[in-house]
Amino acid sequence: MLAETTRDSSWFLAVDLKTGSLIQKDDEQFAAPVQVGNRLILDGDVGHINVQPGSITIDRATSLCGELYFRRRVDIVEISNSLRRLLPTPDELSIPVLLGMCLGLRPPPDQTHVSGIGRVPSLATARIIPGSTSVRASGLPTAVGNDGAPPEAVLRDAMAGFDGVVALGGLASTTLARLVQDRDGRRPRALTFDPVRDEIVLRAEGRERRESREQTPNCLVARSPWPMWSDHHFPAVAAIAAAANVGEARVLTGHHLRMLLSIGPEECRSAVPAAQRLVVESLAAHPRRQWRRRGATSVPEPHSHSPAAQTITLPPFLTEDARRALYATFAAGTAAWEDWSRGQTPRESRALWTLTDPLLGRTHDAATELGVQLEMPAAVSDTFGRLLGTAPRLRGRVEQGCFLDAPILRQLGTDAPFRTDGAHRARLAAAGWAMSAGPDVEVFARTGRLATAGIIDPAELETVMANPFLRTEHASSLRRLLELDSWLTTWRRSP
Amino acid sequence: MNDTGWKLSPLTRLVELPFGGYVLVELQSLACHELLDPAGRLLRDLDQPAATEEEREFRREAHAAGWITIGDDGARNR
Repeated sequence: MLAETTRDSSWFLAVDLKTGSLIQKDDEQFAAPVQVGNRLILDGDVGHINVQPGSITIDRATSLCGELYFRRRVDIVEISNSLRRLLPTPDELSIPVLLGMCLGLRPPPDQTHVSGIGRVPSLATARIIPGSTSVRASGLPTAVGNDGAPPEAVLRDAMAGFDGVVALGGLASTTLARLVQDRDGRRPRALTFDPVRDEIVLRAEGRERRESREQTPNCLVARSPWPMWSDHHFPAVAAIAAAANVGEARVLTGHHLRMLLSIGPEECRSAVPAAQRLVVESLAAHPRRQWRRRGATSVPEPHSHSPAAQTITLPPFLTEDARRALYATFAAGTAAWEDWSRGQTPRESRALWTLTDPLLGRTHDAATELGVQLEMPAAVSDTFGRLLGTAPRLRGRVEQGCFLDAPILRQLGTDAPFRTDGAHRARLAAAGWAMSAGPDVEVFARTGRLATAGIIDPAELETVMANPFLRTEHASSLRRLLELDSWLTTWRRSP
Repeated sequence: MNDTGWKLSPLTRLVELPFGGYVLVELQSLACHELLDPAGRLLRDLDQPAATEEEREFRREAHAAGWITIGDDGARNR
């Protein structure tokens, strides 16, 4: 049951494009957006909207958090910070996009899995004029840079005013909980999602309470326009729902922190001290030296490792038709994402890629619907900018031949378990799930919506399930496909 | 060939994976072989005789590959 204090904090507005006037402003529950002249200032740092006769500009160039969605109905543009408020209907769902999201692919940056609804991601600007809509990346804010403060101090600053419940998951959130504990002298209240037992654990003042998944986020499943995938974003959604259940108003998560405080493949070499490099590798192993020796004047740039270059590895149990639809949908999407991070360094494009994850929208939707204030210290532009400028040597270290990822987080969160990132935890849980999911998968392969639509090849699926290696490899996409399948059935039935 | 007295070769390791399946590692070359459950069980429970002709055939092939030994033919490796 939801607590009495729960209230929907999403907003919705409709603008007449021709006259540039607000024709409906649903602000009885919520004070923002505030209108100043032609400019609508939006709450929660999600940007602002400029309304002129004949054009609407949604400016999110400095916004790192939250999502904005829009829908065009001829001359009327509807804008909301929640996908749910734009009333998507089951007919509008794009099955290839949803299928791709099951496999970890993204739709183009300005699109969602609902075909009529567009999206303005973080760090982007949308311009809507009669007859056309363009959403462009603005790049990372120029104020990015380190002012010399150590990352520990930056994190402590960011945590200064926090009072709420911590969604504990991995290394980053454990570190944040530790910082709150250092400040207050006692452990903060914490919500953890246990993927193995599928339960949410609430720890407060030394006591522990467990709730199964059916008890808590179910209130979201029926109405939400997002499938409740058990992916790496699910623990945060579950924590938000559980927080609303127990009447907590603020939830702290460690989103993006690990990305900001660890190094990428192209920076690995700078994590090793120069003297040590000479010991652990032979001179000839250095590409830089090799190029010098050959008399080349310029050192080639290392491969960019752009995360935007999505690779498609489709599981074998998809039919030929489904493959073709997926390729057609995602060829354009991949190109659009590559364009999105063009001209950025690999680290910047990784940051951009993480901040613009479309599935974060589900987390924000849940938070606004349940009236929970979601706090991500790493997505506050001040903290983000200062952490993005952290030197590589502080973000990864080689100690006695062992690579240590995010050493700052490991030092601060002294009681942090040696956990891998959320995506890895979700894959591990899915592999465990797949061991005992035989009967469910059989039903899914025979009578599921996706199977009857000719998307799943039952014979191939049987082969995959019989082979523990293939089963483990495809466990997470299979689990999401099953969840998508059941969500499509239940969501259709709801009004 | 008698179907009893098989032993895993001292130069191989058989590892059961947490989510099912086995991996056989040849220690000399560090070559890894993925084995499905029935194959892994056949190599794990070497004291139990093979039930069918296919199983006997599999063990003969494993013997030919040097993964398992019979009698003292693996003694030179110890």
